[in-house]
Amino acid sequence: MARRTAPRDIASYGDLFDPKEAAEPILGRAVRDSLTEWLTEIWAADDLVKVGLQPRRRAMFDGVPGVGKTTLAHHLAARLGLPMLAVRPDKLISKWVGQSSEQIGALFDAAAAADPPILLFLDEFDAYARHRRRSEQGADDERNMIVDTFLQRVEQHSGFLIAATNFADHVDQAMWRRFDIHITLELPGLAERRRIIQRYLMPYGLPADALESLAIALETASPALIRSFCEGLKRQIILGPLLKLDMSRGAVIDRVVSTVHPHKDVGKPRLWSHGSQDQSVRAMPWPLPAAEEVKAEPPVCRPDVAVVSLNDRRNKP
Amino acid sequence: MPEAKTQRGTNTIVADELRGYIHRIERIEEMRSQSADDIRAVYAEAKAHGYTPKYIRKVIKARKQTPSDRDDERAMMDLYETAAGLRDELPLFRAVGAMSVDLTARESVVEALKQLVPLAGEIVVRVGGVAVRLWRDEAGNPQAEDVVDRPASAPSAAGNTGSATPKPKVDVPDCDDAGAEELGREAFRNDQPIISNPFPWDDPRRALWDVGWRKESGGDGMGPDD
Repeated sequence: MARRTAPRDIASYGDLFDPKEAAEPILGRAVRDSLTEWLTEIWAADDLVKVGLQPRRRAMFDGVPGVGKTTLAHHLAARLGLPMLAVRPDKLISKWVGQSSEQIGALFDAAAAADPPILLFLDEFDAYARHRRRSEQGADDERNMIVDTFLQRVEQHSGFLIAATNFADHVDQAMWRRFDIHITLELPGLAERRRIIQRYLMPYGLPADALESLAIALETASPALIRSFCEGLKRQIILGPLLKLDMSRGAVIDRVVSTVHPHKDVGKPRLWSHGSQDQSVRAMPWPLPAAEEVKAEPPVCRPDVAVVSLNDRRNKP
Repeated sequence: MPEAKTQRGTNTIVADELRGYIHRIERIEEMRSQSADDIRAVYAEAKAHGYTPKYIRKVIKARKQTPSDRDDERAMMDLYETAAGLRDELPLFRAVGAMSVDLTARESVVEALKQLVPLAGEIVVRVGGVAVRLWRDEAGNPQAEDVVDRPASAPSAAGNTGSATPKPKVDVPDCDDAGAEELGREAFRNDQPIISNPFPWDDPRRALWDVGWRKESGGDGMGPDD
């Protein structure tokens, strides 16, 4: 008789996120609107059932790394009041033939039985759901089987499910079709970058002009990169004096910029080209004032900058 | 410049290439007729041992099909033969007849068990693979219904998930729908985040609280409008 894997604790498939710990996502208008629509739809389930519809339950987020797919899924779970399980591939995919599929089945069973329900978040979804292909080796069979198992279980799953991927075009077509909502997260626009800087620079702040200037200099940066930059700045402010480093404005910015880099395939923001010579650095008050001291209201009449799409540049080796 | 008059004959490169193809095809044709002879020899050998080649051919043909193709073919043959008057019973009737053997047996067992139902209490018994619950209604007549037996809590998850995802102990405010919306507005005014919604996920007031918060803020709960 085949040996079955013992039932596992749902938390053993990944990391559980509590609804109370969610952060506010910083997103463009279009994405925010579609999320509000989805929430409204979920809460109007009873009315939809009357006309023979079910609220959509499965969404696929795609976008370059660091645009906030996990943050967004966590925020949605928190709005719904549900814990989120971020499934980890290493907890699911096994080296033994057939065991991966078995564990996938067990995960979905455990998720279906969970009380309160759990929002399943499958990050790096392309790892599980690549195009199936004609099998030439045993490994291909196994991989096709993983995708087939997912296809069935995703279809049958009655709970909320969000998948995220950096490579939307690697996802199997049949799998793509099983998701009712597809949201592409673009890199943040000017207004979003302003707010991301404000958030991660806390407890420091920048006056409106300097903030605007820095947001422009960070065009094409992902939220994750902006966060690294802001945190690097704060780290330097604390550690620099302890290490007796040069604490002049230009020296600090150069040190931060040289330790945090955008990936070569995504855009390089102007700040990384100019370093401390950038005009946004010259506009920056130094030492950084506390957030309460500055009135960081966004300028009213500045023309907005369009969101830069990297669609054509993505996935290049 | 006058056109060069090159004669294409048996000695050209093109002719060589063509002859190569023709020879290859001829060789394969020869092998094929040889294989056909071999197959005939095997049939002859089988026949000599008392097997009928006709049926061997049918089995070989059937083995080339998928099981669903075979079932399809059988069903269609049934249908056509019945229509052509070769069968004396319709396929559907034959199928129902085969099924009723089990069904009637099961029903008669259930009928017999009805006699044993106590006045107060019930019997759950497994008959024909499905559990049946037997009880007496208010008039005292025995009743029977199938029960889908499902453990009260799924064994795979009950013990484990209980510890993994402890139910958040939140004090749910006691209020009506309008009250929930007002609480949401109040939460925004008190600078509480939108995710501090006190109603559990399956409470319809959760949505109303969210709506109240959003109405008061004028936004969608995902930060200020730009």
